[in-house]
Amino acid sequence: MAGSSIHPDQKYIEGLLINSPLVIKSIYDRFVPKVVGYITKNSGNEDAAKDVVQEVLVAIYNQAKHKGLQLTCPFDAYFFLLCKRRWLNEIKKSSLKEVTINEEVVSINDDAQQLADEFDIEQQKKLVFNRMFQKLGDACKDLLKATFEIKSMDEVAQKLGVTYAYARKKKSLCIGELTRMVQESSEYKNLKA
Amino acid sequence: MNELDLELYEAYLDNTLDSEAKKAFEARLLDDASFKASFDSYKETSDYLSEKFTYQEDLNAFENNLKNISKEHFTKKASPSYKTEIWKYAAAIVLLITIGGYFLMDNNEPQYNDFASQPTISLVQRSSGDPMAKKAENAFNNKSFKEAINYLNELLGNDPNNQELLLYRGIAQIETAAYGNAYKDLDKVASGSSVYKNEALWQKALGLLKQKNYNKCKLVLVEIPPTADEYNKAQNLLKKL
Repeated sequence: MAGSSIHPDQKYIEGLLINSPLVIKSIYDRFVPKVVGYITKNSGNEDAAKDVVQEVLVAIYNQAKHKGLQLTCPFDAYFFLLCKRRWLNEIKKSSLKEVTINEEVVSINDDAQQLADEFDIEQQKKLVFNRMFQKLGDACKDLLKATFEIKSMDEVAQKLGVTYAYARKKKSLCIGELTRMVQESSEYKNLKA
Repeated sequence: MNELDLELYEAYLDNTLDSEAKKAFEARLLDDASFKASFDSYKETSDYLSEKFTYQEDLNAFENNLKNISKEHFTKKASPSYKTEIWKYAAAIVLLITIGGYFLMDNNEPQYNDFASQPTISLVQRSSGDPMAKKAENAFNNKSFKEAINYLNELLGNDPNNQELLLYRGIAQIETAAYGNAYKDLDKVASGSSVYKNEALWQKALGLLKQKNYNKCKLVLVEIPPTADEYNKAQNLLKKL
């Protein structure tokens, strides 16, 4: 998001990144009640809201840790929008529910909207990667898991009973194979379009 | 993607290319658009795998923390039934009548212990698993504040501006009556812009309450803004003073 400056609420993102109990508590006290209000007004209950909040906070944590998330809008707007979208997806999945969406608490914030769009695309890409990873052969799956968990290629080679050079080469081939499968999938192409 | 390129991508990401090979690689990224596109895709996959398998410990710690706080939050917020509520009010009235006289006669000021509740802290989240952080966390949560201060001193030696550590050391110092040092730490946090700012003001006010310095305590309490989580308890204490 070139041009937009980082919002002071980035402090919540930093707090999540260091797993600060005070910051997490503060998010629950300040921002979660609004999400609970929205979900309970829209065919959900407190338990459903609890799950949505946890899933979204974990996703924000991952986004911050691995994609360097930088907030250009108030945390409240971003967090609420992600929770709302997650809940609307849940409702869509259970198509039997007849739902009237109550939108009174929603305020539109352009930056939040854009960040949430980017977030959604990342989540969907991750689903494609997960699906394709499952389609890899077991040898590749085991090797990739070991190389990314253990980090030291020497240890990986020892654990898998192969030479260092083989482990290294195989790692790049397996990543190449997964990359090819993902890039060729129509779902991924649609996301990139 | 040919095999040689794949090995090259891996070596570049792994930082095992020598400086000349690295320069050549970067020059090719600039000149050859299809090489760059292919490398970007490879890197995206590598980043995905890193997210999936690396730092799992950190993620587990985060999820556990989240579950506990969520549980606490929703239990606290659970609204009691009407009947329970009535009994609660009845019990509260009896309690008030019983102890009210004592307070009226004694005209007591609010007490530190009525307001102080030290947070449970959690410092060991990073994959480095710093043993010193674990010791500090355990000592603090077991209310061995002197010990906690020693460990926090060491942690702050390596990371002197860590606002979270300064806040916790401030709290521990109030508990051990080292007020001067406590206020130095808490003032630093309160004058910053971290998320711990208002908690630091609240803890300083509690320290002053413990010292029975009621006027200074009031001055600190009024600094806590209405947007802060600590605002309601600060107002509550202000009224009692």
